Amino acid sequence: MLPHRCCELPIREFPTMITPEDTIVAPATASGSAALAVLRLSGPDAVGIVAKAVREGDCFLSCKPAVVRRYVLASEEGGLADEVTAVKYLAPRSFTGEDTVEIICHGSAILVAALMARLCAMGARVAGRGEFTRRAFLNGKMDLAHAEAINQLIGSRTLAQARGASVCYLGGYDPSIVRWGGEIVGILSDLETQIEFGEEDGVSGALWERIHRGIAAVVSDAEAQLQRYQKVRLADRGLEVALVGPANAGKSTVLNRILGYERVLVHSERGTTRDSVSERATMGGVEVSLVDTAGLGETIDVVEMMGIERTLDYVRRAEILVWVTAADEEFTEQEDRLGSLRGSMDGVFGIVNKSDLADASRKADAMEHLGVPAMIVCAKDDGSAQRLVSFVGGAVSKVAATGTEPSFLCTARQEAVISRMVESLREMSCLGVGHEEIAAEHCRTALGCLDEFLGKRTTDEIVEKVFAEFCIGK
Amino acid sequence: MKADVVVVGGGHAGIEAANVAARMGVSTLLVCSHVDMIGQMSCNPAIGGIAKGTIVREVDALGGIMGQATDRAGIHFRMLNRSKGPAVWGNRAQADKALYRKVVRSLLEREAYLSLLQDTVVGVAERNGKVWGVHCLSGETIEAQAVVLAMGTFLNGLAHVGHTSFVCGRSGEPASIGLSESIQALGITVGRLKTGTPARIDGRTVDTSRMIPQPGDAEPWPFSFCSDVQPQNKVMCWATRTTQATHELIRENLDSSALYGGKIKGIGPRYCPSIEDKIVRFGDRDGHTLFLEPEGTDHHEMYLSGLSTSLPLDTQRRMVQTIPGLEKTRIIRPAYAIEYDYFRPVQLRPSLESKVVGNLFFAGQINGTSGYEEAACQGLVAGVNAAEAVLGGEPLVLGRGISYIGVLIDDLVTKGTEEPYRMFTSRAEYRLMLRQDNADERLMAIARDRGTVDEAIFSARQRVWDERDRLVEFLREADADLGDGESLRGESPSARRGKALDLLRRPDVNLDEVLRSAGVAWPGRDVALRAEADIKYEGFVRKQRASVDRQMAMESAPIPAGLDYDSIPGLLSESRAKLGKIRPATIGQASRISGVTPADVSILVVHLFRNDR
Repeated sequence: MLPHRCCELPIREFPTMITPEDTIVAPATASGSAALAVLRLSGPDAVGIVAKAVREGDCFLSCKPAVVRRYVLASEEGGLADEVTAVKYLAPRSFTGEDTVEIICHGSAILVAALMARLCAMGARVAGRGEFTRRAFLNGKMDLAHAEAINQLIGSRTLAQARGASVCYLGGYDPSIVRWGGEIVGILSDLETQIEFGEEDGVSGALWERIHRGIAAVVSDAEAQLQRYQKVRLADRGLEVALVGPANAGKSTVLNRILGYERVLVHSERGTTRDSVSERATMGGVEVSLVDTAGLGETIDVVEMMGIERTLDYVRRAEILVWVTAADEEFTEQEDRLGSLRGSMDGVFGIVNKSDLADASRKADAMEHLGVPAMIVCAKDDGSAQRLVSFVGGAVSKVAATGTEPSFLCTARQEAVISRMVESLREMSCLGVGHEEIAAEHCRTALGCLDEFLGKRTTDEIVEKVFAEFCIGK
Repeated sequence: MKADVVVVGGGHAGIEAANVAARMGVSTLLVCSHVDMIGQMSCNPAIGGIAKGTIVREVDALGGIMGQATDRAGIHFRMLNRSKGPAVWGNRAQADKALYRKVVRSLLEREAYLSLLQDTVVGVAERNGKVWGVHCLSGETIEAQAVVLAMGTFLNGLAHVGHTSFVCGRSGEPASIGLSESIQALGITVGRLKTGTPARIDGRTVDTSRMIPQPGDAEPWPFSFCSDVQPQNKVMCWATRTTQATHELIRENLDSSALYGGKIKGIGPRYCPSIEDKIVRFGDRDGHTLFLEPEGTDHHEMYLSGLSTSLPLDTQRRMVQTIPGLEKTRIIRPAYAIEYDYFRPVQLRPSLESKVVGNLFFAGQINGTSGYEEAACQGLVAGVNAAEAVLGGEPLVLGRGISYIGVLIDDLVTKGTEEPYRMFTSRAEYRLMLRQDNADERLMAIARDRGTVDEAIFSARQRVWDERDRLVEFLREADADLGDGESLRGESPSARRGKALDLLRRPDVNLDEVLRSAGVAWPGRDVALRAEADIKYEGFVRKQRASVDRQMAMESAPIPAGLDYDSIPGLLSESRAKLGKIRPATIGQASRISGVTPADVSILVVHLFRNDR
């Protein structure tokens, strides 16, 4: 059930992006400096364009598909050239199903831009978002689910996401989807049998009992998946790692050490950090949002009080609390109440700072008093960065691993579709004997959602939505 | 001889085709082998049922005669599925078969442009890809501008009773030999199907005291929107069951069944299995239900519904006598199975015109369907389109979003069928909209425009629709309190009060009680049922309408008839083959071909878009 919209409009207005007679080009690798970069062309003139652009054009033309060779490719005015390797794939045996060329050059952003300009001058056009995968889809090289999985794999920021995406890409769906589909089809066919032939066999209350049981099972299963998806998405947004502790314990110093630069003004005066400061970083393989908070402690300063309110907020909600104390200071009352403020000591890790200012027994006391996994450090020292990063990184990966059971839901689109399925099935729970035709309607809607999820049935809106999430060149 | 439209066959498809063509003002000739048999019910005496009853209503709304004939010739009426929602109700009648033929004959004879001719058509005359007439057994060739073929199961019909086979069209009538080959010679391919019919028994030898009576409705519902005949119940039907003894007898004699003895090659209907099939596939269960249906009022012949078989006659006799109440029963007409040729319907356009031969239309069982109603509705569409072919008008193509007829024809021409095709409500994706109560609202304006329904009848219906609209609008604003009523008994008083319309939206709320509480006089059941159904399904219908609109947009994107699918890169080879074979007329039709993926459809759209520029 594809493209209704193209038909509502006059057809010629349809796909401005899909004009498969032109040839597209885009870097396949991220921009910035790297050892190598890959440029990719796809379309009927891909081979011709590259042959015109490289010095050894004839050689490229006569070269067999999938054979790698070296060529010289120069910028348009000739001032800049690179030795590249290029390989061609001929339709339909390529990723997109069209003639495709991949060029590997050195990874300078300036060079890549110059070579792109040259290829465009020879007749290529810069690819739109997701256009390579879109062409692969339209040429029947992959279904929508695969296209989505590629996007997801490329974009995944957590291991859980990457795992889910690679499962989808390799052609598997969680067996749950198959099970749900089977259950709903079974129920629907029972309902239809009751509608078409029930008059002869009489009404069966047992049928409805079975229906309600089956629906409840699918709903609770699907809801569990939706909850897991929410968690994975939270992890995607970045786990929050909040540095808390008494004023002047050195939280800002710890943050700067971890980031490797002076993000926060540090001063020996109490309460220098009056409001929370957050910064994104990757730690322990997970994207995190590192938050430096205002110090806990009594104050009469209004601004500082508001900052402390905010801090208490983080104490409650951050996935990870890094509790920073100074080895030479007594524990404050609020620190002692940390567990009750947060609700538990889960996800709390300790750092005993200023190790240079205390003796061995004092340090041991502080470590014991914390009662959570902790390290002792002198953050002021340049050498402490490595230890801090690995301690906090370890904490992050520990929490990330427990917090995110993988979900086979990968994208917001998939979540929306499954939510709609659950909604339809829920509507069935208040129905009973005599409402078979309405129940069947809900079943059909639910099955439609599953089909949509699997990409069996797509409207062009779904296609647009999926491809809108692609970056150029993927 | 000469006519604008020639209709071949006097069964349920043929009579509807001839009737509407004549009404549209073209000279129409109905040719059949035996004029007395026009309107014969070959198998059971029932018309309508779940889904089928809705088709009868649609045929009636389009100016067909099946509904009116059933109201007049029916002797037992029952609205099925009353315990479920109105979207799946289906009216069913048992008819007096002889009376039905008589009524059909008189209804046909009202049409001034319609003539009848008794002859057997043996060949189709074609020139330059277009039909120009038919050749008859008498030696006469009848010239025609358009021809509707509706020969039913008669094409190379071969009946089986046990190991005995005999050539026939229907028990007691000759088969049509040679015509099938003549049509194949035009380049149209055939398949072979099988169906069966149970024995007819002598009602005087039945002991109904051992059976469960199946009374008709206290106040029967009419089928027709166009007549004011009030249907009457005149007979009782009866239910009984097969026994262990029946099942043992069948198992012992399976070898002598034509079906299981390997004699029959055609494919039979899964949903209307022979009793041998039921025993082999479903075993004993606790017996299989059988219904006894009288075939008329002035004799005692009864139809033994549920006991279709191809066992030898003596086994049939013994089998019948194992059934409670039938111990002494005598068979009047034996059961038999019949094989016949059908033309693969994917060779037809959605107008039922052949893709191979212009102005040649196919309707009814020759397209692979089963059932009187399925046949009748195709006849009606073919008849209108044959007349339009003569008049130079646009063909009538009813969409899936507007009618069961549209669903049926679209299924046939898009997917084809390998077994006798029967309509089910579940085949209609817009079931909640396509109800038996509102067939007139869906279709009658089309019929009026085509000239098959009179303006006077149309405006009478319009008054009913207006009355319903006023009632619904009133209920939207009116307050109601279910008070002492039965509806929503277990709920709090506040949950049982509110706007009448909101109460009616909830399951299990009785319209009668709401109307009483809102102070509305009973508007008559036609208006009441429509209003109730419209209100109950309003939310669903809104969604389905939107979906129909999208579908319509796809249906309006045409695919050029000569499109070369081999020239389109990227199509999966399976889809390429299917598209090439079925040659869909629109993007919408292409998208429904099984095995054609959404990606294929988008490629098609892109390709057409490119050629367009």
